[in-house]
Amino acid sequence: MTNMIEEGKGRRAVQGYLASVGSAAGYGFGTYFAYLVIRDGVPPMTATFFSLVFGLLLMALLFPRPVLIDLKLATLRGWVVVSMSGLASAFGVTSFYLSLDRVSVVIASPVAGANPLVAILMTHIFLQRLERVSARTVIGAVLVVAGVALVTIGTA
Amino acid sequence: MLGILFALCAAVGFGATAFFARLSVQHMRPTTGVIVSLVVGVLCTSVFVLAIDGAEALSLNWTQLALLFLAGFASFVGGRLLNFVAVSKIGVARSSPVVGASPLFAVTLAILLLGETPNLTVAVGTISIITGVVVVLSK
Repeated sequence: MTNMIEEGKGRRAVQGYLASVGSAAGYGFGTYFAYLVIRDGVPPMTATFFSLVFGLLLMALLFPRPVLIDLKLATLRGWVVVSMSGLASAFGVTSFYLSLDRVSVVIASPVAGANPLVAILMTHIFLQRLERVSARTVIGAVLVVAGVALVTIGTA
Repeated sequence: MLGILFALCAAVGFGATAFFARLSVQHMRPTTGVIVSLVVGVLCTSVFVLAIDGAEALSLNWTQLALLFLAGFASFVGGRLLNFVAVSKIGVARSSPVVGASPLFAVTLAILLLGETPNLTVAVGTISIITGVVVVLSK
């Protein structure tokens, strides 16, 4: 359905990169608000559950039409892969908290923060027909992951 | 050792989230993808919350609920939705390193609003993150 994403194609690329930066900011701000609650003594898993519930309610209120349209149009394969995305996310969050039960955040966060490298590796192995992984992307990802590790260690 | 193994599982889980998001945006809109992934996430975490935290999960005050509302808005209406949009526009390989820079924003807020002081390690890490993002963005 979607062909190979054309690299550096002007407006689409700019929109994609702006969305990526916006996403990083959203996750960063979300982490900050959740941190305030967890610092207040609320268990991390409970905080995650409530933020997920609020996120779901807001999304359903703000964007009901696309779901109703996709309910009619999307294929079974589409529903399966998007459910896998949700399951993978839940698996990630749960594993992360189980990790925090056993090792310090100084160890758990940098290891979990290597997820862009996992995403790039999976893309390179399974999605070669859809995306090209360049050396520049891998170098950038390694620098980001190393930086996240240092920031985590420095703030712990 | 088990703790590190769980952390590795978390990395795989978060990485796989972006990977499956890439596949899902071929079949449906990013908004639908986010809503379905949130439904699955709520169902899965509710089991763990009830099993592990039980009654404590229901004893939050209004301030905590308001902060978690903001967290839900920022993380999912902002973070996850824009992540799905980014993946649909430029793919996983180029969006995930930029999205992975999110701790930079959390740390910046903590420094600005909570008065936390950055040390040399944080400064070096920040430079590394920014350099990495610039490397990915530059052509």
